[in-house]
Order: sequence, then structure tokens, then C-alpha cells
Amino acid sequence: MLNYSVMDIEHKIYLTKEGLDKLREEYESLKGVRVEKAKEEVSSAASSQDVGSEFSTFQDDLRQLELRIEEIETTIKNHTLIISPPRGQRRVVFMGATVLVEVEGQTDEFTIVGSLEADPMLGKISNESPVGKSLLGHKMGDSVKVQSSVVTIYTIKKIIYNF
Amino acid sequence: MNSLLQFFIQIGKLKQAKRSGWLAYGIKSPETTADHIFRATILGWVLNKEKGLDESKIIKTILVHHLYEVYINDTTPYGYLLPKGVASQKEKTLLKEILKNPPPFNLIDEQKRLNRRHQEEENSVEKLISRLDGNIKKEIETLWQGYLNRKTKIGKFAWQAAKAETFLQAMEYWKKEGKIEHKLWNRWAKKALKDPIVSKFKKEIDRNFLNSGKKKNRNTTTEVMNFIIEIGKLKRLKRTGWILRGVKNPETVAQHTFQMTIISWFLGETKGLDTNKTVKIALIHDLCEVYAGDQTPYDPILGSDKKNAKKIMEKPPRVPYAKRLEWLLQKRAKEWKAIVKLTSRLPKALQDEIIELWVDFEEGLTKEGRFVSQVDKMVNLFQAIEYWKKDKKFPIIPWWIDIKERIDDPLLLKFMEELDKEFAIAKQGRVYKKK
Repeated sequence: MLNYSVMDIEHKIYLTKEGLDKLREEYESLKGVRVEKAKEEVSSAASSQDVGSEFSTFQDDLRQLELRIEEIETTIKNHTLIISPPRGQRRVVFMGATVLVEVEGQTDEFTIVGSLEADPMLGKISNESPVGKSLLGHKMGDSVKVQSSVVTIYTIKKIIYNF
Repeated sequence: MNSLLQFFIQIGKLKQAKRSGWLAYGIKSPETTADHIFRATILGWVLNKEKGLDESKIIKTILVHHLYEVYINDTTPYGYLLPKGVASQKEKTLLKEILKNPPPFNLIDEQKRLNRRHQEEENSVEKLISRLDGNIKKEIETLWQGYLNRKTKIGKFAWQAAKAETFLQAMEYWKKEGKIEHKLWNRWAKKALKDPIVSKFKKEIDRNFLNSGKKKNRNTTTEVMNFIIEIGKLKRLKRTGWILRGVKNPETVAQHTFQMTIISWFLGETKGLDTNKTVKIALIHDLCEVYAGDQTPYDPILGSDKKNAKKIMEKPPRVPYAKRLEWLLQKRAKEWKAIVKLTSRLPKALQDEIIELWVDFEEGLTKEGRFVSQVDKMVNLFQAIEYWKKDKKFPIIPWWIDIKERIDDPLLLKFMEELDKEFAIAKQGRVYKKK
């Protein structure tokens, strides 16, 4: 269950329902690939006397596959599902919120997600990015300062929970 | 972190260092040292698939093999014989005459020259890495010494691969501009490139450039050579974003890749990632641009209106979601086709590997892929600051706004703070005024 305190949100593995489903799908598919690879190993060893370099490439592939499967397992096991906040708290930016902002005379729209699902080109920004982190916990109408030697002010125009 | 930042700034000089041999021949817009390192590293990696040496060490050795040029110029075997400046017709004729013959060879003089040169190179590398962290410093020292002395298998093979790249480049310039004494080069390459795998590659180059009229049978080496020739286009492909912002003589995709690969390696090491993987992802991340070209996030707003590009680029690229999605899907499809086409004739295992690494970079499938993808963004800010230092009219503010929406890796955020300090110093007390 998502904790609505914004104090301890860093370093958790956050996933949306959509992200979690995608990972589960990939997990099942990779397990299938692993079975196929194991069959390839048997037939390759049987058909060739000299499989030296091919075999080492194959092993390397298999290692990468295992690493990915392991990574997904860890993610699924330890994830925190992003859920919509209670009705009374939807005027505040929490994980999963889509935030309409005005910045330096331009408007933009960000959805705050966990690091694994972040895709800034598609407006999905990480809760651990300076902007994502700054927006969390703020309300509609707030102006949020993102610091560095170049200061940028994001004014929150609207907060939407689409899920 | 500051010592790393200063190191990265220093190696940026290799992106401007035009190779002296090509300058002596009068090649138009010759490659720089960084361009050479980019392709030599990929060549070493690919040829090593057959050789089977420690892949990570081969790649990293070639990445560092010319770092000394940060402080001392590249040389040619003709050394002191070449006139320093070539301005008059008389000097040009003299130069041409010298280059028609092999470099004069006197064993004692040559040994003395080499010893002197090696000492200079060693001093330069020492100076460059003096402030780096112990582990990385030691690793570079070991790899570079291996290359310099060529006493280890890794050092020998890395040297051969790097020289094979130079030979290929010589033949490409010869074919394009005709100014190269290709017979001399061939004689030298025949003697120097003795490793059986590199020698086979050299013969393939001969077949391609010297027997152009004859029908050629294609084999694996042919396909590897064609791939290497194709990626050579990235040595000439200037990055679009800098061109549109009016940067004079901007970096090429190959130069960007060289610097980004080293940064991914060092920061990846600090972070405890699999650096063989980070380095390979960085090396191949832009290969698709051979056919897909270099696109920028401003493309959906710019359309064909390149005249207003400078004005539009004074702000971050804020594009409505639907338009952004449409552009992104088109971009990814184009790049996917390009990377498949580029690798389609390579041995299957190699093609699979390159495509997997590329997908990892694009989709962030592993922690290495996600990290290198963010390094790419950071390196762009880093380069933008370098351009801004030279020309204060360069629109730097959007880069700072953009990066804080894109980066979330803790180590890269620290690096960003370091860049911020560097930026503040460079501003020399000037206060940023918001428009």
C-alpha cells in the first residue's frame, strides 16, 4: 500500500499497474526464451564438434537473460504499487499524478512515476529527478522552485489522477 | 567528482585534434583523434570476437590508446622531416616529395626518437590521470602501458586493431581524394599487421579498394569490413542540435560517442556497474544514425522551418503530448530499421548482441542501459556548457531546465552539481536574468 507521506518516497521501487503488468508479461516471455535456449544448447552440442566461440556467445546471452529475469523478479517482489490517493487528497501531487505546469512562459504536462517507468520524452518523469521530487507534496496554485545556478519556477495549474 | 569532471573536459580536446598525418597529405576536413578512437574501438571489439581475448580489456585499451594527445600532438613516422607550416607552394612541393617515399629509417636514430616519444607520451598520460581515483588511475595506467609496450596479447592485438583502422582510413581518403601514397601504406600495413585476424581484415581492405573491377565473393570478413566502413560515416556526421544552434565546427556523432563512452565507463565504475556492458552500450548507442540521421527533440516543432530554429531553441522543447508521441514512434521505428539494416549481414551472434545493447539503451531494460541513457543526456549538457563557454550567446538555459526533468540517477545528480559549480565559475559572477 502506498504511504501518502512524501517524506520516504525515495529509493522505493514504484510501479503503476500498467508498468507492473508489462513487467509480468516480459517475465513470462523471458522464461519461455530460457526454455528455448536450453533446447538450443542440447542440439548445438550434439551437432558440432567445435562450438568454442559460438558456445561462449551463447553462454553470454544466457547470462544476460538470467540477469534480466533476476532483475524483474527482484522488482516484482519489492515493488510498491502506485495507487490513487483518497478523494480528499487529490489536490496534492502524489506518485502517479499528472501535473499541468507553467514554466518560463510555456505549459507542459508531467506524470510522476518511479525511476523504472520514467520516459521524459513522453512526459513521464521520475520521482527522483529534481523536478519530480520538487513537485511532490505541492498543491494546485503552488509555485515550486527547482534550484541550481539556474533557478526554474514551476507553477502547478492542475493535478489529475487518471487511474 | 571534480577530478573526473576536469578529466572529461580535458579529453574533449581530442574531438578537435585533427590527425597530423592526414593534414600533411592535405586531406580536406580530416578526422580527429576522437573519430579514430571511436571506430578503432569498435573494430577491435568486433575482430576480437574471433580472437577471443578479454573483450573488456581490448575495448578499454583502444579507448585510452591516444589519450596522451591531450597534451602533445599526434606525430607521423616522418617526424621532424615535415615542415611545420605549409603555406607556400615551395613548402607544399617539398612535403609532397617527402611523402612519396617511406620514412627514412636508421635503427639507432629511430630507437632514440621512439624512446623520446614514449617518454613524452608517458608524461602526458601521467599528467592527465594524476588526479583520478586510485582504481581508475591504475586501470588506465595498466591498459596504456600494455598498448605502449606491446608485450601482452591484449596490448599487441589492440595496437594491431587501431593501426588497421588507420590503414582503412588511409585507403578511404585515397579513394576519395587521391592524395594518399597508398602503395607505401600498403607496404607498411603488410609488414605491421601480422596478427592473422587483422591481416585477414587488411587483405579484405585491399580486395575492396584495389580490386574494384573484379567480382568479389562475400565472406564474414567482407561483411565486418563493410560494417566498419558504414559506421565510418559517423566520423563525418555533425550533430544536428549544435548545427541548428549555430555552433561553428560542432562535434561529430563519433566524437560525441568517444567522450560519452569514456564517461560511461568511469562513472559506471564508480557506481559499481558492469563496465564492459556500459562501455559497449555507449559505443553502439548512436550507430543507427548511419541511416536514420541525427534527430533532436525539437524536430516536431521545427518541421521544415529551420530558419527559426535558433529562436525556438532558446526554450526547452515543449511539445503537446499527441504530437510528441507521434514523432517519437516514428523516430524509434526509423532507428530500429536503421540498426537492423546496418547489422543485417554481420554474424548472427554479433548482430543480436548489438541490437540487444541498442534496445537496452532505448528501453532501459537493465541498470546499465538506464544509466548510459542518462549519461547521454548529461554529456549533452556538458557539451552545451563547453560551447557556451566559447560563445556566451549560446542558449544554455534550456539545457539546465531540461536536465532536471530527465536525470534521476543519484551519481549523475552529484555530477550535475559539479557541473553546476563549473558553470557558476564560468559565469564569472554574471547573474542570470530571466526573460
